Amino acid sequence: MKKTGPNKPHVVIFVEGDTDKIFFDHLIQFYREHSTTEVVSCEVRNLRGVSRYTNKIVGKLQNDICPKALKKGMAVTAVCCSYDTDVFEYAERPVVDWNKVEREVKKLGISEFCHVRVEQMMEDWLLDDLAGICAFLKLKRVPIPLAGGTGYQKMQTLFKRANKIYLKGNSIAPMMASIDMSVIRHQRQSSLARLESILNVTI
Amino acid sequence: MRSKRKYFDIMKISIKKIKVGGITNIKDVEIPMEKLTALVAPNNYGKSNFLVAIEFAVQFMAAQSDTRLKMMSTRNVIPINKSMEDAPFSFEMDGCTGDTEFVYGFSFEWARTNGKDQGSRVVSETLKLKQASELKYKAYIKREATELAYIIATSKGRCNKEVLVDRGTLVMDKLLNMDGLFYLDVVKAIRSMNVKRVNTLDNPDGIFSSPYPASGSGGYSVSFPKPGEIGFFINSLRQLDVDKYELLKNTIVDLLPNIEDFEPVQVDLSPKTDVPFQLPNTYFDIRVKERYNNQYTSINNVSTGSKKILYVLTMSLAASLNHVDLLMFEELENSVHPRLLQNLLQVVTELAGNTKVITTSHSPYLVKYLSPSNIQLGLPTHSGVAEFRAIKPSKVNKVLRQASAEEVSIGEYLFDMMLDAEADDEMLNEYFA
Repeated sequence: MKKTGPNKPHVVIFVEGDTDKIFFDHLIQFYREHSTTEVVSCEVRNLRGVSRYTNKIVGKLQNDICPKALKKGMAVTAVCCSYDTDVFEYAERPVVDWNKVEREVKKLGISEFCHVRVEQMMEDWLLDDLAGICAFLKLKRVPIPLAGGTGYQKMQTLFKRANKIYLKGNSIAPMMASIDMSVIRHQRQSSLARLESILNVTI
Repeated sequence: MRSKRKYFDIMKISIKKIKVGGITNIKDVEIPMEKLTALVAPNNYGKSNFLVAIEFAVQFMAAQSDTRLKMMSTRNVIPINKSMEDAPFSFEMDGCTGDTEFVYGFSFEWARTNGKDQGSRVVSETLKLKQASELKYKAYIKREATELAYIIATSKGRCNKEVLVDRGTLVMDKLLNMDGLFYLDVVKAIRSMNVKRVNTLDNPDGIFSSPYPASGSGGYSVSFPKPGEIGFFINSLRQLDVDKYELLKNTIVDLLPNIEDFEPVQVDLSPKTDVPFQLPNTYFDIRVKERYNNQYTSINNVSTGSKKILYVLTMSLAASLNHVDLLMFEELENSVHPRLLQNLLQVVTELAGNTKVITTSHSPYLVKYLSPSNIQLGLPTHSGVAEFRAIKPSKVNKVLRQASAEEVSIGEYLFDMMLDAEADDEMLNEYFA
């Protein structure tokens, strides 16, 4: 018998690169494990840079994400775009017109659009749990203050102490198991509030 | 008053700018040296020629007088472009050593086979110094003729002490022999300028192992390795500098997910019999454990791309360890997956430490990750001579806005501009410095 009734909501988080993809996957997992209310269905999509941002988002939603969600009895009700407010030395540098992105997303019938601004970059958020990173790097002492003008440079400083080079994306995956997400969530509450509301997270 | 003491700082230079001309199709090219600089252009624009020109100039500086005279007739670099027929070779470098900033340059006439004048002589040389806190440079070497130059000989003197030189002699040669010269350390630092060119275009087979290199002399050495010595270098690094070895190993394993582990091995193929003279017969190899293999294999079995990356990273670290001033790569992106490029650029500059890096490139992927100040674009000219220009700082925001409107990176946008720039002088002058 054909299923009737409204589709369940589905949320898509678009991120710019591997680092953010790994972080948000872990964050969503954290929400699922710790929320006292049921977390809305959600997926994280990596756009690998910000070139042709609007076209990529619209294309992926139209041709891939929305049809797949529909097949599973869900409808994409919200799109969140996460981005670093600063860029590191070797990042791409077009400026995204967020109003245009929002307009185009809403034309697809998706009512909610929100930003998750990562101040200044994802490395700053990760460094909120400095002790966790030091444990991962097997550094006996937590060096304070950390040398470096940006979160990325500070991360490089830490990795150098462990005879490693911090690589965006590559370095973060094995590190996440040592990171206490509750520390970061606590520090970044205001940036995550809208996303948590959309995802129905209660902790 | 200028103190003698301040010239006895660090014997290491940091290059800020290099200008060369009068060689191959390089008429007059000036490139500021960032931590990483990319010369980006289509084929046949003179990217590699610029690297060749720098290497040639440094070899010329280091050569003996008679060798220099021979170099003045080096067939494969003498300019034959019609617009450069009489152009002398010229080289000028801006940099600093310790607190001292310098401009050093020289020029010579190429050998000629027509007319009575046979060329082949140094025609000018200049050295200007200033402290970082000073506004103006002061000339320490003036030479505008072949056989006579003027120098500053004492800290309170003027640039009027005569020095006799000949066709193949640089004034710097003379200064090096003046014990007690108060700026001798600066002269030595400039003369010991160390540049290395790494060829990443050839097949990397054979660069890791060869018979025991002479530089090893039975021990270990982390001298800048030649092709064939990479295995020896990595093995020596493990023995002599464990931290740097760990850094290299961790970086390679982090960058190349297919490689789980690797280690240098020494293979002794010497005959066990007693012979009057035993030829060196020790080889080095790198044993690599790839993720999906059930055993270690020789580096020779690893993919060409992975071998090249291992080679590039090793050379970057070797450059830092050996205080190389400028490390030059031909097409760093060669055999590298575009997704790896961003991390590769980061790692190369990290491992290279204080060594400046310059690479030639054809790749829009590479420029995508660089800021405009790091990109020198090869632009078309009407005479076939090489011309490299960066985007004007005052135009960066305009280009960024235009790139954003097209939703492409500024690097990609500049790459397209370069390709569209054919004979569009108005556009060239508006956007490029």
